[in-house]
Amino acid sequence: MYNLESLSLEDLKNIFEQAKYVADENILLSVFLSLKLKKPLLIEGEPGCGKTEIAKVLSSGLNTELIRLQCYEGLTASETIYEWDYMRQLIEIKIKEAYKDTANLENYIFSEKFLLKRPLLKAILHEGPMPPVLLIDEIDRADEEFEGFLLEFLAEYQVTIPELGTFKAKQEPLVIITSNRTRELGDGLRRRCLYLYIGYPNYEKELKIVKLKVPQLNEKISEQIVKIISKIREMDNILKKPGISETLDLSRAVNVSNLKELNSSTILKYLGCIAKNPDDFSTLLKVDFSSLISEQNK
Amino acid sequence: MNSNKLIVFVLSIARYLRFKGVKVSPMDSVDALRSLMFFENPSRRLIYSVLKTIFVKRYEDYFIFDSLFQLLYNQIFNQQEEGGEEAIIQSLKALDNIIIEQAMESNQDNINLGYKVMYSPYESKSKRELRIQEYKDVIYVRRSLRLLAKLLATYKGLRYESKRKGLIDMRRTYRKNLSYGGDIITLMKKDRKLNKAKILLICDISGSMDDHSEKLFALMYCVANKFHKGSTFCFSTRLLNVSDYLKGCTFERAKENLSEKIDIWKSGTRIGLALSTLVNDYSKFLDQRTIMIIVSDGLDLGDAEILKNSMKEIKRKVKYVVWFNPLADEKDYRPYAIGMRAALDYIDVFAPFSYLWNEKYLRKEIIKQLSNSKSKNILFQAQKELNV
Repeated sequence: MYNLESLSLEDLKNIFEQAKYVADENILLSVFLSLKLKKPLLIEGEPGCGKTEIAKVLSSGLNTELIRLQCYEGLTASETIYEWDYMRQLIEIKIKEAYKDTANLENYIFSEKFLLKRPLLKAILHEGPMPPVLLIDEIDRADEEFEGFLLEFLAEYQVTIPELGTFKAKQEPLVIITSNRTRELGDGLRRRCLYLYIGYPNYEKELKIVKLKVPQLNEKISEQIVKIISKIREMDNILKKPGISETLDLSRAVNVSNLKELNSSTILKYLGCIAKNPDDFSTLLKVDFSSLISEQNK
Repeated sequence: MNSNKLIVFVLSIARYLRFKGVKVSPMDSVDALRSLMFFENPSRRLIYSVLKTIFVKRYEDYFIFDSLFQLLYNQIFNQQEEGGEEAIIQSLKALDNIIIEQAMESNQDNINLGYKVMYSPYESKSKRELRIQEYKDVIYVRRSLRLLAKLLATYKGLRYESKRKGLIDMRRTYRKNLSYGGDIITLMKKDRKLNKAKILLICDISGSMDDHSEKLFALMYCVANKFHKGSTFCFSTRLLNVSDYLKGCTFERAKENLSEKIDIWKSGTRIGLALSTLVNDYSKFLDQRTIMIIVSDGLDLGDAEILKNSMKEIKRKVKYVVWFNPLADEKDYRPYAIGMRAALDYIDVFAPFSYLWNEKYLRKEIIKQLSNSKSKNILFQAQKELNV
């Protein structure tokens, strides 16, 4: 079990290796500094390149709880902090009335028992040797107002519930914020975070990931898949460029089918793993994969 | 490595980054120094990675950081052995001059407006260097667009409001019935609020609209970045989808993208062709949740029939068509240009372009045009006059 105070860069490297996450120096250093400086880490990058995975790896490696807040349009503060369980409160009132036990009823029904804890409150009330990992996923999908609220939360790590008082985190959660850059985030949020951008991996890194995640796959086929995917990424007319997750999907699909060799017709069969919209699908149907493969073989 | 030199280096790079427009706070410098203290004798590569993580908050700023790091590292650490403290100070001064010169050059205003604004149907490939412009425009136009989306809302958001029909609102039911001792007598209901709209912006960037390029840019940036479901197109002789050049970019970066990548600025006007491209190639953007905003002066002498058919098809597919015309800012303006005349029947709201920066007037105009008192508005009057 690791201790945050004495955690070294080498320990962090081991954690990522154990989780089969190929992390380069930049990723390791950003996570390390975020843990040491106790600052949230804002990770931006292309979809499917392993942003969310970092939080998962961290929570499993540090043996602590992962609390996930998935952002979406219209998300409000109350949905992320707490809500009262009105149904249970009403039933409780009825039961108490039936037993004629209404003394101190108000305090009772507004106690923690009837509090529905949402992710931010959960992160604050977390008890354990290690602080929890709070993953605020796809912050760019939430409204700017929510971003403003989050600033306040990240500065103080405390929440006030009028009926119960103020709760302050005993241990500041390890916060990972991810964004797909569908909109520009405010300067305030950026200023409070450390920043990491994860782009598409280079050939060597991607091959390493495929070998690690799909070890049963023939080495030659792995190389072919990685090369084909990187060629597709270079195409200008592809709207949604394939990320690492698409590479892994294709590798797993090929592996499950027990293919010994990759050719043009087999790639076309698995196009659904790479193309995620009709335009890309029709563009890729026109690509001459056989020449790509023969080029690689040479 | 000499720790004093390292401190000088960290503070210098923070200062130069600020000068280059990267927002680095004094706390960031403190964090950077604290972080470097975690490592004994950090290598150049490690210093680079640590400072990049702490100082850079945007992907676009990575490139500024990279070039500055290289420049400064060589200046400070290589000069150290040769000339000591004095040499470092001298080299930093020299560096100051280089950076100031670079900044001055990039800010030079070289827009030449000495040409006559007129209609042309021909394409001329030209790029447009957008001037430094205040971000304030984006803030103002955002307010107006939000108002417009709210007034013409096309679909329900995730927020609730109390309604007579809908789901049971437990919170309000509970609070309402507290006065009856907790017995449920009145049920309160809630339903999703109709407060969202998908905005599709089509901007005319032809030569006749060139005076308004800066405002158009602010509008395009705002729609692409401040609305979840906003799409931005611009046209002159062709229609281009520019959302990807604007989305997720800083204001400056987006400006650079549009200046560099769009080659139809100040070209001729073919509104009909542009709108028919929209109908044929980008039909997925047109649905009953969409408010289509067109910003154009309507000066198109092309085939009015194509424009009319396209507008008809667009009107059928989208919920509202709103047209902002810069010429309508003039008091005596009447929409008699061929383009405008062909489109008139299919426009729900027609307003002067400047109203996009004036929330109060825009609200009045939208309410007026959507209410029964249509006779008061410019659109209705023009239609009537044309019929006569």
